[in-house]
Amino acid sequence: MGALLQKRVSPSAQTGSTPRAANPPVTSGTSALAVGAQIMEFRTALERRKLKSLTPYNPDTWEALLRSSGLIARYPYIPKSLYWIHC
Amino acid sequence: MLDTLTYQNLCTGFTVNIPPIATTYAPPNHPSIVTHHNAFEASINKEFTLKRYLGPYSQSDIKSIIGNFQSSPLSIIPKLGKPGKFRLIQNLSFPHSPLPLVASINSRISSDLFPCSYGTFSIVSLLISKLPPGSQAAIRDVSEAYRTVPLCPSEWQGLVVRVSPDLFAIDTCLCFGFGPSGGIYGALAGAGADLFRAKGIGPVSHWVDDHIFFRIRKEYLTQYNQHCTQVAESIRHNGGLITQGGRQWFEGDTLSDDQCTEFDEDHIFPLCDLSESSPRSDDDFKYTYNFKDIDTISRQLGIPWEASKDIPFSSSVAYLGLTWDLNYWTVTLSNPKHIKYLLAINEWNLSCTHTLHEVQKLHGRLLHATLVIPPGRAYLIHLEAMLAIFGDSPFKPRTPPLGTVEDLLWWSTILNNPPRPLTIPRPGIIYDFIAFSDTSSGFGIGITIDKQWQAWRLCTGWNTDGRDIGWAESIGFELLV
Repeated sequence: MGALLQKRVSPSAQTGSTPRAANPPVTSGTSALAVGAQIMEFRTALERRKLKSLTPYNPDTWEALLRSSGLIARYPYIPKSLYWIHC
Repeated sequence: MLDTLTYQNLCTGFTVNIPPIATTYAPPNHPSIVTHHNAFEASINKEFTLKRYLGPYSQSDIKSIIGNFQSSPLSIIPKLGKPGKFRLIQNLSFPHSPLPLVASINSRISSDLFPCSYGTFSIVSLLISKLPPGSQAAIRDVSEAYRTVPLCPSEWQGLVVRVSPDLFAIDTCLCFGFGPSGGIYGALAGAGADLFRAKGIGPVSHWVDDHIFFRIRKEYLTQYNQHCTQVAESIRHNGGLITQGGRQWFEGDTLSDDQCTEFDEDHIFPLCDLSESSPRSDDDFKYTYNFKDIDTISRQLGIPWEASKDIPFSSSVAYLGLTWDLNYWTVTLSNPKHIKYLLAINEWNLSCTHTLHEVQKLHGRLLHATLVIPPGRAYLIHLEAMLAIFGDSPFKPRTPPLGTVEDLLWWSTILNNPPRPLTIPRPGIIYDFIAFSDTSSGFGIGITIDKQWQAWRLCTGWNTDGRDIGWAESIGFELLV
């Protein structure tokens, strides 16, 4: 999967020990249309993630088991936290 | 600041309430990502593949979507004792001193808002001391525990990472280096542990994602559950869950030495005999549950155990960096920790001066060792004195106080020739013999035991050759015991 990042970035990272202003964004060789498409793609990815969180846990089961064992009052926020999409 | 209750009530996601980011701040990464460039690239590509990082995009792209953001420098360190393995760390405590309009993310969030219970040394010792004969323990770790926990999109502005000189990504999960990670994950693991208990599995304790499962032989089930009922009653009597700072626990009875017993569960769920729930080996059948029973619930909940770290049920397991022997009731520093701490001392000895972080690291390791090597507490005093000398310059290397070399020599000797394992501490009966000793430099030493007494006169010249009142007091105590 090295190609995943290499497609977009230089192989080395800037280093240093003191804060500096961030580098300007890379725009060379990219048309306005392409940039717009990229931002759209990014926006879509974020919106998709907002709708479905990424976790191996099963929020429905957590909620059901916490309720059936009387523990939901102790951990009211856990099911919500695992699928905040519904909040 | 929100208090814990408010946090829980208001929480609609793993929200940490990172305050609004006033201005975009994107410092460079730590030099270690160049030193270990291949490992760094592999790490971040893995994050993209698993979709825990969103991106990469330019600063302006990210800003145009989520607004002002703050990235924290990434560093990467080799995992000790695991050649070829690395840990990616986000330094969310950067910048260490606030700048105009910018303060580190960690400095703006109190970890105390995310309390959880911990299976500490004393809690696990007490638990083991009450286990019936023949009990066993097993260890299970959650795979990449922090990375399994998603953060609310409202927090993303504070969790951006720089993946190259020009590109950034949004980290959507808990990570190493983030102050609340331990508490947030610990609370989730605490809920998971309670769910295992509710299904009759246990006793179980955990330190963040490091779980220790105990199991007892079926013939002791009734007797052990009676003990749990008594503990549950004393916990209820003492007010149930106690929260102090970032730590939660349950308080039980007060012991004869005025110490309170502490637990990481309220003992409301009895253990169950699950041995008939599925086919199992003859050995497993002697116990109330086995790994398969843990797996059944884990699968339902989606808990991803790291199978390579599983330590099957036996009478001796490593937990908290210590080896616990349930047959002999002993606990000792685990072999990897012996080696790690010796290496740490050797590394320390390579330099004459040290930063605060270096002192904290070595002190923390040796302090851990004192759990099972109690005399070592006396050989930490110079490191502890050094912790206090840095003032406002934690990064300026300092010379250790006189005596530090001798202390560390003692530690090296002990770690090279480990003492006998410590008997696992357990509540004992305290007898008051009404015994006292006292010393007068002008007269001598006296002791009393109940209504009897004895006294000795100090000879002329006793207070020479380095002897002083402290020496005389010690002699008095020695004579008493």
